[in-house]
Amino acid sequence: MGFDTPLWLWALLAGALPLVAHRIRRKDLKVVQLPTFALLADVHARQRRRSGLNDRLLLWTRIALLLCLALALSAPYMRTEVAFGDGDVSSVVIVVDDSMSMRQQQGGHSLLDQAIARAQAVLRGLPAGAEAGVVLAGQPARTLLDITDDLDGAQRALRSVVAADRGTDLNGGLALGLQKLEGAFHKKRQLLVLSDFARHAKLDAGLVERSSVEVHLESLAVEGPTKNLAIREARAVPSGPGTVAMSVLVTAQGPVPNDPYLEVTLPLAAQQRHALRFDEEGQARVSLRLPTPKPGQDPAVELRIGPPDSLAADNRTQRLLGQASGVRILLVNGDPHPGSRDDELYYAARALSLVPSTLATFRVRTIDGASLAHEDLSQNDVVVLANVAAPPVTTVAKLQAFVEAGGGVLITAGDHLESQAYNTRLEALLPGHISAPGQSQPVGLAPPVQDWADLHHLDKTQTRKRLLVDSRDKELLRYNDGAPAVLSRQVGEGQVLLLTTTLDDGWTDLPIRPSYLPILTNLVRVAAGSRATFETNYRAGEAVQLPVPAGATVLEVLDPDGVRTRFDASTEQPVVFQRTYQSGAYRILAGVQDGPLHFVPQRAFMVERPQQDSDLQAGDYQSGVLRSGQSHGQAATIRRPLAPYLWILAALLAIAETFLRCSGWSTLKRWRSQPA
Amino acid sequence: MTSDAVLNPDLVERVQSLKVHVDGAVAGIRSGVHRSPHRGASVIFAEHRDYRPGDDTRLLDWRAFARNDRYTVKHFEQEAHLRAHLLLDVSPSMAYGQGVAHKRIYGATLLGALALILLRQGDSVGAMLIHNGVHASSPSRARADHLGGLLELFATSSLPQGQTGLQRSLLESGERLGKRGLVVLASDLLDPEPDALRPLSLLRAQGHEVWVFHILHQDERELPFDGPLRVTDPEQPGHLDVDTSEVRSAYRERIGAFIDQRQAQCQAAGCRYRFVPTERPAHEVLNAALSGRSQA
Repeated sequence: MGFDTPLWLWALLAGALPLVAHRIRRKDLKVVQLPTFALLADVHARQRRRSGLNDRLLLWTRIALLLCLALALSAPYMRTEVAFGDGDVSSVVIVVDDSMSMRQQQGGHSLLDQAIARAQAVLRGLPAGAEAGVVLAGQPARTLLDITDDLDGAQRALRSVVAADRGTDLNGGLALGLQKLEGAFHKKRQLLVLSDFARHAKLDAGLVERSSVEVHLESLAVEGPTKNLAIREARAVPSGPGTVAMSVLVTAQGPVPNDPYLEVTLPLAAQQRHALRFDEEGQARVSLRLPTPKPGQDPAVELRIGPPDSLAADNRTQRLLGQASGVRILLVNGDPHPGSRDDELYYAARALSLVPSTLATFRVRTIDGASLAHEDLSQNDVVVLANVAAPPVTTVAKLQAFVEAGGGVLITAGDHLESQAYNTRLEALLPGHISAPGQSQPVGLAPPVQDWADLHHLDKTQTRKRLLVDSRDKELLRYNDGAPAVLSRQVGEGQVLLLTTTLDDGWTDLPIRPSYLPILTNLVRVAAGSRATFETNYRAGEAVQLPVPAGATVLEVLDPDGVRTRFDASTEQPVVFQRTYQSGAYRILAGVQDGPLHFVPQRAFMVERPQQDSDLQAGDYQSGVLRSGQSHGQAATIRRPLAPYLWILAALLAIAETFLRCSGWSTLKRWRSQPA
Repeated sequence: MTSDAVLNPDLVERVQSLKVHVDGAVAGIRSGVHRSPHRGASVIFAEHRDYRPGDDTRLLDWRAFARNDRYTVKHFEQEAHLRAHLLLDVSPSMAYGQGVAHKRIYGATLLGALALILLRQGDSVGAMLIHNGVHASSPSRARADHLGGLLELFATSSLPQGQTGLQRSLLESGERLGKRGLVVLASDLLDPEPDALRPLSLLRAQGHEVWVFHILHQDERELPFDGPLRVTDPEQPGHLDVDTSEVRSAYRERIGAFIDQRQAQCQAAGCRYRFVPTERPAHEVLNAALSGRSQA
């Protein structure tokens, strides 16, 4: 505590004035001799009992008033340590980075725990009237709590944050936080970012600099050399009957610890331990040959490296054995022009290779139409017949068997597609009766019936030619004029899809439109059916819809930590699994109520670990941000002036003094005694 | 204070026509204007009764014997002179006020005028100065020149100090009083003792007619002072610092209750009570008291 004008403290002596005045007044009293003294004394004693409190209050009120005025004039202030900001009422958004790199341990606690504790301390320290919101900057950036003045509620909301193997989306979190502050109530707006500010976050310093909001970047990572071992890659490929070859890449950031190792744990098998030898680039590769799990066995293998380091999340991973590492797509080219844009699959093959692994993993193989007859379709999940002439009957039979077993067929139109032959030979598969190709005015696509993501401006596509189909089955996509663009038909366990225009730009400009890739991806996913699910690498925190195997009434999800989550599939449809917090293999067990459960390898899925989050090196952008005038929002000491409060108190005391002087309680008593 | 200050000529003039009548009988030796408890020779017929042996035969009513053939004795009222005893409270509490509004002077004036009236109508008058007992006294006489002595007694400057003892004063007075007569007390009745006025009942039991003039100054009744004061007690040490504006209202209620209480005590004892504010002229008070009018 201190005073700006301490000389006024001498005025505190004025506090004695009422006492002195009281004494002086008593000394100078006029003396009257009154014979009725006894009666007066009696009245005075009774009056005194009632007014004594009033008099004492009046005296002390006057003393307090003078002291208050003297103190207010001396301009006192308090040095207060605030958890955040300058103690002013403001709107604050806290961005908490809940990415995987925040799971690294420091001092017995993870950085995320420290960030949450810090955020809670900030919320506790905000003055009354302040409002706050919380944004999480793990991928994808999302709102945990909209701006509210319920700061206790905000603290409670922070307790619900779960550590997950999410990637970092610090820029997204920052943008979301700034967006929230645009509609904030208070003029003073602050953004606090709690993160490790690792290099992989790629923070856009310009975003901070351009903002009119006061941004505080607070790094929770301890400065010092970074040390982290991480399993960077683990690829499994079939290497022969009953075996899988696995290649594991381990990277070391910073000094390599002593005796690094890799442990491999297979279900029902002894644990294997392999020493790791790192090269100069800090990489170590281990090749493994593992047995393919038998049907009904747990299809996952667990890889763990050691010795333990600060970030345990990237020291462990799992892989599903016995499954291909992506949806196997067989592209059958009906109009091959190798190396030319005229090639039927020129656009499709490139688009499928660009599909991000977080959306789906595709393994694409291309053959020509003539080779289809010799192809073992069971090695594929989806067969795309792109502008292929009608296959022979034997091939059609193979296709039908393939579909009925759960495979998917996508038929796309073109000049080589013989509609009559297709109608005749593939009647059992086709989702409609194909008429001759129809020329028309260019027509766009209508919005999809299904919830297909990332489809924009479909109406701007120009389809000049298309197959005319008598629709018999489900329409997935239509043209603007109502004619079907994509039809699907369930055959056995599988799906057959018919795209009524070409995959290349022969009949339509769809391949050069941004929505081409999402449409193609979705068509393949629909065609792959349940096979697409387990082959998809999900992101941590993403909800997964689990298909229920035929006949199963109970579904169990076994997460990478071995925790089981049970669903009653007979009542809960569709089954949606939300707790995909850890990266690794999520195995599915199915069965009937009160019966044994067995693994369903086809339904298992992977949650991908954000590889970049294993890079714990501090980003070099921090200095740039600091140079732009922003500062770390660590706890600060502020001077909180007390004079305004004292002036208010003095005003209240003055009112009280007036009230008490005007016979205070007796006035009050009179008021109370007045009839209503 | 001189005897002239007690009874000025103007007052003497104003009370010249007043007469004192008592309600009850008085036991005077000489005949006077007041009813005596004894039967005697006078013109006022009292009663007839049968003759009993030993009765004075001169009292036989022969006319009644002629009519009834019975011996009947005729009785007449005896008229006696009044013995009045004037008690003036001279305690320090009575020494309040200025000029004629001075409580003791006012009381002395009142009693002096009463003595004048009584002596004029041939009654005998005695006086006592009371405080905490009888401080001084003058014997009861009916001579006209006795008035001067009484006035000198009332005007005496040798006054006692200390607290009023009305009870003791009245008891001592009662012992000194002779046959039944009139006792007039002029006092402010300011005595903290709750039984201060109990001896009034004894006086009444002795057959005295008791008049009480309750004298209070306007200041005592209204507390007209402004602001804070230091109030002292004339009869004992000590003071009280008080803001009169704060207590005035309650004080007035209290003094009103005190007056009512004293009046009730006097009336309960069978006394004739009259409240006398000092600002009221003495002749008006006497006029009202002797004509039997109720208080204004």
